[in-house]
Amino acid sequence: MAKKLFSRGEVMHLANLAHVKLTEKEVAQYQKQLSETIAYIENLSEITHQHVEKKEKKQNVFFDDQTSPVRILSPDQALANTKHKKDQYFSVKKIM
Amino acid sequence: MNIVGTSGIELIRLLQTKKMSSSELQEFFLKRIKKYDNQFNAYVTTVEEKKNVSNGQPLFGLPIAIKDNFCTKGVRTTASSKVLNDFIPPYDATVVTKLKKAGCILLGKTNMDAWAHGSSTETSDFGVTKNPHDLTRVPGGSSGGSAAAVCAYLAPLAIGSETAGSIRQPAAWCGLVGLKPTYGRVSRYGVIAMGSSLDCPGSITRTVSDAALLLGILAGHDPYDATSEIISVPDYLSCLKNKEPLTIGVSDEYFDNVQPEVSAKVQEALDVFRKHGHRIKKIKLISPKYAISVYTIIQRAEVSSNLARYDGIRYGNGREYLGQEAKRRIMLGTYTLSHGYYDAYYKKAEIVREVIRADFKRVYKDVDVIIAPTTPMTALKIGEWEKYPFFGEMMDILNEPGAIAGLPAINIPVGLDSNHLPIGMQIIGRHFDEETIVRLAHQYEEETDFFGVTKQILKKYQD
Amino acid sequence: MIMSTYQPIIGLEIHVELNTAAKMFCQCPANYFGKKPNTQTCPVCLGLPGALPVPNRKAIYYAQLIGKALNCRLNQSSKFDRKHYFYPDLPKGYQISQYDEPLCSEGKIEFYGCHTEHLIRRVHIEEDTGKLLHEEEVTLIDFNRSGVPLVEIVTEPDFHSAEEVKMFLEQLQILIRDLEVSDADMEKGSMRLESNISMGSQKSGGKLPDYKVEVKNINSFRFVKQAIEYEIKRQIDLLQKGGSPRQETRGFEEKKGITYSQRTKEEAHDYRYFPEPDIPPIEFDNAHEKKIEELLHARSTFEMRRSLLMQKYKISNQNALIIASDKKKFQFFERCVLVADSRLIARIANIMVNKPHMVKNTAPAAFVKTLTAISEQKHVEGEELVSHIEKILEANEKAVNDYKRGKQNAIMFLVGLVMRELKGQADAQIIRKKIEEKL
Repeated sequence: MAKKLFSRGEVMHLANLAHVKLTEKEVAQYQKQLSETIAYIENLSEITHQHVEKKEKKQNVFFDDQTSPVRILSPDQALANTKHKKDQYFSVKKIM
Repeated sequence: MNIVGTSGIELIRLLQTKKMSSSELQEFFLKRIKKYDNQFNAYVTTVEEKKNVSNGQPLFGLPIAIKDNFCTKGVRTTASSKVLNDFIPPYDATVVTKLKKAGCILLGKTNMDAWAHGSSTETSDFGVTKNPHDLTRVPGGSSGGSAAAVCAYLAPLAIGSETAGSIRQPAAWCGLVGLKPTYGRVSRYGVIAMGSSLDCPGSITRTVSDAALLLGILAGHDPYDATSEIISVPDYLSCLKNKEPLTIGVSDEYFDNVQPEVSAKVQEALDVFRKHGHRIKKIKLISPKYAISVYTIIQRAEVSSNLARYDGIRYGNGREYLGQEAKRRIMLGTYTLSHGYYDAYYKKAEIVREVIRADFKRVYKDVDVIIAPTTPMTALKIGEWEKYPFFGEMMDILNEPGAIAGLPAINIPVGLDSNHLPIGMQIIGRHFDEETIVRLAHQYEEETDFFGVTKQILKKYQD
Repeated sequence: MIMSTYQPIIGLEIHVELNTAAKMFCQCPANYFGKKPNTQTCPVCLGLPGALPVPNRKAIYYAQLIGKALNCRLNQSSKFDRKHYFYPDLPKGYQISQYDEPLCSEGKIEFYGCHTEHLIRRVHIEEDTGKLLHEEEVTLIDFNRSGVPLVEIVTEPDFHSAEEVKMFLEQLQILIRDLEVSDADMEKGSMRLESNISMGSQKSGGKLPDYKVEVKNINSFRFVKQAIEYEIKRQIDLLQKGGSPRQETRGFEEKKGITYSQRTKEEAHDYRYFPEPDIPPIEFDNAHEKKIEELLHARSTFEMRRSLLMQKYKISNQNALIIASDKKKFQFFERCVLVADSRLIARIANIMVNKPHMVKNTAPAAFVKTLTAISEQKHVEGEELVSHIEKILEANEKAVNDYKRGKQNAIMFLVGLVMRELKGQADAQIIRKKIEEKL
């Protein structure tokens, strides 16, 4: 595969998808660093996989349908760590 | 009585025989922390509150330090990120619950690379931790704080976590025992997630017996963690006396690009094992460079997903507080999962992961354990990471293959290099065969006492 | 209206909130209706750092039950996936759902009265989000609903009218209620509908159009038809003007009866699905499939009840429909039949349907006792009846003449007299017939 070079637009798109804000300096930095990393991981194409045996069947892990008070948080506990609350709700700026 | 450097098991004996009370012991460590930690910056939060320990708890009030990515109820937990600067969990991680139930007393939360993203503790938002062996150097990471604390005896033993190298490497760079159990052996519930299919809670201790002790307390299926294995937990302490000869696998690929002094010390260690009747066998493993690619893709993908919950709405600060390394990993993870790229990257990585797992399985038909250097070089100077473009990955190159296969491993000190920096060697075992790697490590410790590596350093930090 | 060139192509996505005791991935109560905000959360459903999901077994079985009832294939391998997007009601920044290995696939169902089979693409399970409350300046969030199990049923786009959709939904609701896995109440939000609507042209010969409009927020049955019909008309109008409907999501405004665009920008979601690493993949064997089949048979369905009524009890089609559509009515009927003489069965059904007040608040045994008593009264019939009728007719010349002259209520008067004479021990309809014959 040809060497992939991340464009500014691609970096911005990823930042958008991931809800991450970047400075112009960071955008340029990440263009370079992401391109280097992608170039390295291309080495995986060197491994042509033969059929790999399927993982052993394991017991399904479920829980029985019962409520339990052990982990339930009181509203105070649930809201204790937020800076944005109103009455007994979490709050955010009005969503249009 | 001078207890500096006393192992966890010995301290328990002192507590049990009432030669010391648990609050005296707690006070002892808190004093040392106050005296020395401004040099190391090993702790993010210390707990002053005196705790009562009820009778009959097996650890009798043994103090312990816990890496700051384990949720501790009522005690600030930050993962060394400013995003969680004020976060006080309303619940305990299962590991913490088990330690409390066994009678441990929490000394404090130790520094780490922010979100466990790193191999030097330099990405912490609370400052780098210094290596007690050389304050101009890093202790390794991401469990650097736990390693430094145990190294300088600001805690007798500590809990860490490893995704690929985060316990073994700081243990190696600080000259300590670092045990990374099999993935699924210890519950991840309450551990701030980094790589969900990779994270393993484990320990950093001064002796192998302490590691065995802690594993016995922490191991076991947890109904709150669907990836924790339903498998019986052996008595690790009683396994230690087993001296049956083993076949030890050694792979040339794991000695490539390793500092000569490191290689040499590992070879000397192998001689010790030969002396005790163990067989050394040459094995061939897939080159670790593929494991780096697999690990990079899977870990970054899981990281980008696991950090999506930090939006500042229910707790913590907003995403603008995320650091450079976190953002970089999130970006790459987002890319490899994004539409059109999933097959080429994530899916391919999962396939090669199975190839690597199968490769180990094949090798373990002929050997019982694999021995290799833990890291290619000894502790770097602070800031030196910038010289290495793929820094974290290169430091962890010898740890990543075993990690992505979920295998257990233990680091033990095997000597010092010409800069008096500790050299670590790792013993990698089969899935869920911690007994074998621990008893082999114990045999080495009995024979060599780690050449005084763990003890000599304390001369610098005597009370 | 030139509708013949365009055919509506409609596919449905129905979400059903399960009535399990606990949530999908934690042990918080699943029933959040009427509870004070944020009183039913835990580290898992609040998305706290370090929390991990463990799946609710019953929720999974319920999803498979629904799938089986819709004649789906129960997949032997299944898994959960993470579906990523940011929204304040989604605590983890991703929803645990199912992507390419759902619990059930490829079903089909022909509901009674629908006259056509509909194909079910898949049935899968996922977790619900928190609830938003919009105020003046802020939006408030309650996470009690976060993590509640949701079953998603996706049909193929083989619906072609609003009426068809409405009938299907009504029957689906009965089915889900019969299975007792949810109260499937649209007003309460335990059954939600999203319809994907586009217009295909006859000319394109069955090829699917290159867009679809997703219509959300239809909160009751009576609005289903209205919303879909509005949307169909809107699209046809656009197409006829030479335009093309945009691929978008639209909401339904109840008061105005219109659909409106919900997305201000075209945002093709990149959900970055990948397998949920915290939950190992699930495997089911043949024994398990049998278990689900047994569970299905134990919870009888409308169709099963209807056939039973008609085939075993010989109830009329009309009556069977009504009694079968309500499980409670059906159970009442069965209990009556247990204690009643077989000759009374048809009457029991008749009364339940036509005179429901007679069975209201009455136990089956008591009702049957009353009915038996009434029917045991000697019924006057045949020759005896005719002679009584003749007696009355002779004694009421005026009424007879009135009837002959066309006064209809005269006959009612005569019937009444006969009934009074016979103290009610006769069938009024038969009397009337006989009088008519005579006159």
